[in-house]
Amino acid sequence: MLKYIGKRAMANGLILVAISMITYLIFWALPVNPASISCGTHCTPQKIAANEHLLGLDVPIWVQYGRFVKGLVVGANYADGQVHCSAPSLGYSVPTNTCVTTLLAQKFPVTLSLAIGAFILWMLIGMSMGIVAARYRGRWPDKAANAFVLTGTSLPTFLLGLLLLIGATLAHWIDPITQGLWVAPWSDPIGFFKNFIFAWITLAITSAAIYTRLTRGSVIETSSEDFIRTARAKGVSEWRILLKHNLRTSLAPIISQAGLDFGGLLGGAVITEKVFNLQGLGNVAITAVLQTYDLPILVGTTLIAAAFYLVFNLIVDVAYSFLDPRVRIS
Amino acid sequence: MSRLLEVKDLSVSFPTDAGVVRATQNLSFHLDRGETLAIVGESGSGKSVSSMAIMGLHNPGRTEISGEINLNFGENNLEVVSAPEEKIRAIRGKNVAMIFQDPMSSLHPYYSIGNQLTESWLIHNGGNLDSKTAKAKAWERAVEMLDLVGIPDAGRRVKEFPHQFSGGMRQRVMIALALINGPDLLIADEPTTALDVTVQAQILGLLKDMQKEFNMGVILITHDLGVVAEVSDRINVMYAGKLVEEGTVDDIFYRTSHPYTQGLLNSIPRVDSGVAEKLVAIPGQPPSLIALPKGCAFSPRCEYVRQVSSHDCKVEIPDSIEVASGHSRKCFLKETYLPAGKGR
Amino acid sequence: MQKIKIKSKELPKLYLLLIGLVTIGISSTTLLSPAKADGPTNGGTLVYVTNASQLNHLDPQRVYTGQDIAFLNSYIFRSLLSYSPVPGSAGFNLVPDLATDTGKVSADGKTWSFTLKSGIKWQDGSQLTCADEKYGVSRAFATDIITDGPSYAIQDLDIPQDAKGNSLYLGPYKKTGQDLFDKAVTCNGNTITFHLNKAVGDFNYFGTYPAMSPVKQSADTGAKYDSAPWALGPYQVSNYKTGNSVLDLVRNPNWSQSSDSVRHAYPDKVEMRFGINENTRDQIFISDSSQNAVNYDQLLLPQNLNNFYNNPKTAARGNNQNSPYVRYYAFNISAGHLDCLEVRKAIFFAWDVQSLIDLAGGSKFYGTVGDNSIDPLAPDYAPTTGNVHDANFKKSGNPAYAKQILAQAKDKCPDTYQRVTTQGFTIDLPDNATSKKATALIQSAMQAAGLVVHFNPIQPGVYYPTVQDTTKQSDMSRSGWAADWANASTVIPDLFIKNGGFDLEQNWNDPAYKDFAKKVLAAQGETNRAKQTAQWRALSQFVMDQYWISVPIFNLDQYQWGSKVGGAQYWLPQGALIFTDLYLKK
Repeated sequence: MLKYIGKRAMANGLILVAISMITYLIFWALPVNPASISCGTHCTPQKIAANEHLLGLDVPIWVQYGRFVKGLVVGANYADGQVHCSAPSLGYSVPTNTCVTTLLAQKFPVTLSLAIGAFILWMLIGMSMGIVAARYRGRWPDKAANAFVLTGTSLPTFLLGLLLLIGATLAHWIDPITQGLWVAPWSDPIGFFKNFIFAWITLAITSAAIYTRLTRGSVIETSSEDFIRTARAKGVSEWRILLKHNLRTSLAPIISQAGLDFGGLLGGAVITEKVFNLQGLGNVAITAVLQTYDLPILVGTTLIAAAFYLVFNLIVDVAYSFLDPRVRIS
Repeated sequence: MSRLLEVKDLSVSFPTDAGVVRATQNLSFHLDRGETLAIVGESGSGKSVSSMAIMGLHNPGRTEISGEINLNFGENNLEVVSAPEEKIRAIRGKNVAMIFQDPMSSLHPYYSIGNQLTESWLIHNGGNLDSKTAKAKAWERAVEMLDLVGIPDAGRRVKEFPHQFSGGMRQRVMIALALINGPDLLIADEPTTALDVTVQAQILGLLKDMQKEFNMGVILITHDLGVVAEVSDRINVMYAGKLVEEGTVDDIFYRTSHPYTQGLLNSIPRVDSGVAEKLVAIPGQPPSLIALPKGCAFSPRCEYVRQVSSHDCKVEIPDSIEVASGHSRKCFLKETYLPAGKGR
Repeated sequence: MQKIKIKSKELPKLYLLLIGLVTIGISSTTLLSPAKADGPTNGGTLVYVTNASQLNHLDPQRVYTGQDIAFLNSYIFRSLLSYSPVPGSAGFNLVPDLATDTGKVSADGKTWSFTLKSGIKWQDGSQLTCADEKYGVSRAFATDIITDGPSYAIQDLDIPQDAKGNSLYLGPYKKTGQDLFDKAVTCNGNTITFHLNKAVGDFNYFGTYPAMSPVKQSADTGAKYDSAPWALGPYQVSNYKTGNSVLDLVRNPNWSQSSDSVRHAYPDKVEMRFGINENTRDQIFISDSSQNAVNYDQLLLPQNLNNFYNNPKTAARGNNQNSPYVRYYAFNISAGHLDCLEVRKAIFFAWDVQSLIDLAGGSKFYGTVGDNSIDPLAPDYAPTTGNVHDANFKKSGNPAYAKQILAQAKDKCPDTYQRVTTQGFTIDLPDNATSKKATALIQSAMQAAGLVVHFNPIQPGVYYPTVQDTTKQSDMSRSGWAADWANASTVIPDLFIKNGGFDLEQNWNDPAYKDFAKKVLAAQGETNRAKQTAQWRALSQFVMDQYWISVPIFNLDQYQWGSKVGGAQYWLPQGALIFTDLYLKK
């Protein structure tokens, strides 16, 4: 098992290297020169050249990439030697005057809090609704769950988020002035909760709908398995069949989906973070794309998102083996 | 003394979008303790459906059942068709047990066989499923059962998972699972079909031993007449949801009375003749259970249709006629017995 | 100061409707407390809200946006001079801030000196010195680190430049050419003297800029100074991390009211909250849910403007006025482009300016049809003649008249005529949703006059660098400008003189240019302000007569505030509120 994890980790490392290279290539190939964005009114070619030097864009792409890798391993100096970022350095962001690693580390607790809360909420809602729908297949609980699925999946996150935000603001449940300001859960649990609850709901409803459908489908599929018939022939009650015999098997597709979704969420939930003004990785990334064209932040957030995705892919595979003894031994 | 199992006029049908599937029609048969009844027929003839009905395993929302299924276990008698689900569940796995065709898919892949065996025992004997003493007792019982069905080193293997067993061993586990509560009636649905030929005989032998051990009534469902001859007392031959011939093993094998039974016999190699024979398949396909042919359901495939002058097989439906005591058929033919071994 | 307003979210109609319904439903039930008429009082927390994710810059030498200048100058920075913090045109008057007077200029207009007040302290309690002032100015030359700021110091100070126009002084970090700077800017006791390379009659106006404010060398952290500048003003930064959605200002204990005749310091705390959702922001002011808030975005979503301003109760908590911005499309009049006066005139008269205004928010809130490249708020503005005052001018375009003019072009400049009526001419636009809608309006107006038009959408971030590249600019480019200070010397030369900084006309080969440029240079050197005004007015009339720009739009902007906020008045020269006057009612 350890050997397997080691192998997978190596492969994931290679994938990350490839992703970082591709990200570099994409931004290099784009027709936009970040140096001319911050050039200002009296923009001259000399100013652009100076900016390129400041941003480290005045050397060939492979040298830039080499510097990036070097920074990652031993740290590096940026902005004409003015700033030092220690290893592992993902680069230096000129528009925000910070080392990208420091910046992302600052933002991560926000994204993590958003992800964990939303994930718990949507798994609870999604799985229990899916189970009930499957248990009462074709009857009113199933129909109600189906209505929820249709509503949840067709409601765009930004619309749901906005409606919740405006509704909660008008009802004085949240103060728009302080909404999104980070408070640690241990220093102010209520403030923390108020800050995140509507963002959690926003993310959870759409995903819960997906998980309701997934759980229902998986449970129904499993219910036609021979071993379910065996359990029934043993005289096991329907609820026990569902929760012990069926669910454990039905979990496999749910877990693999959930792992990837959670991993993806840790890379930042752009729309929800933006709407609720939560200063997480997604908000940083979208500002870097739309406003400041901040290449180091883009590379950093892309890599972080990809890394989480890969890590959770691996976690899912390991989790499988705890679920299914056949995988565990082989 | 009343019979262990008495099925009267059992009809099971499934309404579907394409029409009503008439899986069995007006089925009547019985079984006593210590007796083995084989139900034989092609797939789709209704043999599994009737055994599921006995277990009360049909989804009430999507099945229409009429008739009676009377079970008599001494103290708790039950009519399955009309009984509430909780009452049926109480006898399922305790008084009536079942083993299935594919032992791999019929055991839960994620739980150890000990877990699966003890669950069955605990449900019917343990009272509290989580009590430690009950659990310990259940594990003892599980090991005992594995030992009984001939699994070597049962104390160790009880902790293993189904995929760690060979096919034959898995079926032994299934048998242990079915018998753990000492049932009165065992339904074995194609118990040897998925197994190697050499293993088949062992499993049949085991079933026979177990029948003696527990004094059970056994219903053996199979499409394989070869299996039937060895272990059965009586045979029911089913075609398109109906019982077309019933009788003792000798009745069916040596005094074959229905053209379909004859077709079945012709399609199996006979071990006792010693002569190489040509195997003959029954021409045509079994009918759709949604749109059954008019008259005798077998008539489109029957080569004797032209020999029947008294009735039109394609219009009229033959009633059950007693050929001899305990031997009856549904056929208009004048000849009582059909030549065995040769079809035409 | 150019800027493009990019609406980050163009929203589907259904959603607008939904929000609208929610808004109407709630606001109609919300009771507003009547405003109390009390004098300014100290205390409380004043909160600015904005949809933007951060302030562009906090480094004094890098700030270059009107409102940010006014904000930071009101709270954190102090500069040599200030505009008078009063509403109306009196606000254009210069008053001393760090300096003892508004500056002394030599007879030739090439030397300016300012004496610093004594007893002014930095936030750590240390005394402000002339060296700090000199050091602050020198930072602008480190163009590799101090980006985005105004470049008047580099342009005007008497420091030699190389053939390409780069200063030989590279700023206080590299120190290359430090001796050249030390000669151009000298300290004598508390008096700082600037030696200029030409006569600049209004150099002291530049003294209002944070770019001319001091920086203490020992506190300078280079690029990082942008997130933690030192305060001379009444407030200092207590918490600011870019992208962290908050800027907190607290009282600077070392500021004293007695040393400062410009500023008040009413609130105990001043906060700015970034990234507020646009709809939430609008609700804050419509329903007065945060009574100590001020909208820093200078606008509301178009669908909320009427809602806010049509209700007298809410409207009392907002204003709506001409902003310093003039918006227009610049004609590229170089050879091979729109080098024919009649063609430009035909486009001008065919232009459906009213539809473009309506698209952006209407005459009531977005802007009105203008007649000048100088904003009407500026002292140098006077109505021009011709153009939009012509009897044939129609706000929604006059295609029939445009065709008549075009017929003249057929004879006078057949090549250009041929091009704009067959192959067509091209307009540069920033690539955003509003622009896409504008293209349809422009297209139909041009078609009606028999003109063929194409569009070149450019990514917003690189829009200005692209159109300022003479080889990449198309025939017309969307543009806008606001004066850097209350003198058309920061409009006419910037926009219409070669290398003026924002010259999108490429007019320097036009036969009329040589004479025009000579007159501009003369006006720049004119020290008699009344004479200078007359000169600028004549020159701006000439610009309009030459049809160097399309129909101008005089921009409007709006502020809204909560019911506890008092003292809100508009500061004409800054195009912002007089932030220092804002206080919280008890």
